[in-house]
Amino acid sequence: MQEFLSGLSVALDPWNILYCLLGVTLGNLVGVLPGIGAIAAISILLPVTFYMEPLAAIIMLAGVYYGAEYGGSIASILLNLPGTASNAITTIDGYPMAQRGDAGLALLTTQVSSFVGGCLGIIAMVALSPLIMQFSLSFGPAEYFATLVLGLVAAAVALQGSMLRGLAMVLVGMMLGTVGMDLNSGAARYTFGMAGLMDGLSIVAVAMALFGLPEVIANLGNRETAGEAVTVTARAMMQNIRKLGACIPSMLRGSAVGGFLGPLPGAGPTIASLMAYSVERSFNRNNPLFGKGAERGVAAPESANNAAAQTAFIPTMTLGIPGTPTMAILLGALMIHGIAPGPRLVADHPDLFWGLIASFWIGNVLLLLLNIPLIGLWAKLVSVPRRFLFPVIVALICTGVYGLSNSVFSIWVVIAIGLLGHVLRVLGFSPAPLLIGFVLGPLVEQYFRRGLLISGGDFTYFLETPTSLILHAITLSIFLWMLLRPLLVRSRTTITVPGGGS
Amino acid sequence: MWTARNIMAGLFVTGLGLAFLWFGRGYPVGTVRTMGPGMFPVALACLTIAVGALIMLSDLIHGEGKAMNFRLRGVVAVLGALIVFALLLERAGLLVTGLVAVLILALGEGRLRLLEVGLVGLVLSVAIWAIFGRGLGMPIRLLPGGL
Repeated sequence: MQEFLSGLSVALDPWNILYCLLGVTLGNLVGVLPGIGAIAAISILLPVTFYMEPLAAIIMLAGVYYGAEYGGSIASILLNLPGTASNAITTIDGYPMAQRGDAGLALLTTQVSSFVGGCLGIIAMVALSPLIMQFSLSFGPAEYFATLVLGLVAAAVALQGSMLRGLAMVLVGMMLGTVGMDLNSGAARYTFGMAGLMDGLSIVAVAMALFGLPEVIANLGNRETAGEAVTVTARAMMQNIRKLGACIPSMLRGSAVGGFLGPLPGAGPTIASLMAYSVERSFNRNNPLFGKGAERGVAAPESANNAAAQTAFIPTMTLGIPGTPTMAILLGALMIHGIAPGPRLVADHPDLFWGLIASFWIGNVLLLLLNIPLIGLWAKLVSVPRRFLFPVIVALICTGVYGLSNSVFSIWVVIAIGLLGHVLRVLGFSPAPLLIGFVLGPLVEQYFRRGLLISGGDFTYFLETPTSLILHAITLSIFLWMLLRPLLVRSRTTITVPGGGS
Repeated sequence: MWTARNIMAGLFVTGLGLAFLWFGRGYPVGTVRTMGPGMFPVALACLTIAVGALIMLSDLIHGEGKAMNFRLRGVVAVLGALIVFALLLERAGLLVTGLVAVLILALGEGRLRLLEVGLVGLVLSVAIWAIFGRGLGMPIRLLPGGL
């Protein structure tokens, strides 16, 4: 508690509040605009944060991340087009509500649900992080290896419908991760003599090329999907405040689902919102409106995705293991600033950790204040023609990546990876597991090597402690479940995810 | 469903694995106990080749022969704009680069409204120069001579 208060005082520093506001506003904006997601925005902002203090940088980037979860619902409700992947479910009940004139109620419900989910997620973070960190202090290479493998398999399975395809992407990502100088032997791998590759492929370039570009490529030249952009006012929203009470149980259920799924590797706000919707449906069997425009149908998923967005920080900060591609980029941002996430984070940088958590709370409050009065503005933005967005995205990607290395080599890397990403997309692969493989692959190699070094070449080292055994068992069961599922379960729903990863 | 289309996905993945295997063939592999720099990439490449083959198999058995849209127009336009950036940014400055890139994207978009293109290109270039160049100190020039 003491540390939280000290973190709060740091977070209340005027500059940090400013960056928080900037981050959540940008995140909200990016969430509102379909076609560009949080992951692209964070990648683009990453070079910008070089010039900032580490805490300010991560506060802003995190703000973009959970801010997008707020804004995304606006496009879902008003345009039937989700602003971010995790808001896709909100279209199911949200758009019908807007069509019958209840847009104000839908929007108020989603904003307040997002706030509730965010706050509960923060509480979970505050309560659980120190415990997990204590526990993970005992982690050795074997345990890290086991967790990483679990993360990779979970990413392969969860982020893409078919496990084989997900696995392929993880492997390709890991191979891309080997490009560059091998720290152990000093050998240059896959650099083809190019100095620009000695440090490996930059995660910013890869992320931008994989998530920002294919979206533009796929949508360039499409006729604008002209949705009936409904106009809303703040007053129309606030009139419905009394109706929120009925949604409170849904918000709590959604937050619980999201808070639980958030830290799990491979899960994230998108899966959280899907599961929360399913759970909510089973509680609403007698509700004829559910699926056609029920407030509860938007309250639960919105609470879930915000709770998941907050709790997703837990494994990233405490273990240094990102659960989703976006977390991987945030991890990269921390490392660029010289902060190594992991059990030592709280001990070495208490102000950073607690300041960040405090800023989450500030950010959620700011978002609520931002979205209710300004709802008219956001509603108008939803109808910006996409063809104005595309040049902005391309220009930002190029400039951002150029600024990283002060050389156009990075732009060529983006071109190459962008082409790869496009081909993969066309062939039906999802880029999200690739990014996770890219980030975690080098770590897996490192811990595997270290483990063998410690044990003197004995493979049983990796199965010695109960923790490793349990983790490997979980990984194996996920593997088997995915293999046997087609035989046991008949139907499989595939949900196309716009905007890339969560 | 033994169509060519269905094996493309798995083939591509296997191809990637083969590429990494081929280009990595010179790196000392060592033993699993004393891993050389080549061990990990080669192991990954082999796994990738195997998974690619499995995907080919699975697609042949289950595949429906879905049409794949390569979106050639989008690819050419976006990559074209990027190549423009790569080639012109340092030589011609941000203003020219921005205008040409926006032009290429607009061509890809289909409708060419020169005034719109010019305006967007201008505003975008100046804004980026102001934010990144002046505001953040990134060494990019608006015009080839200086600034």
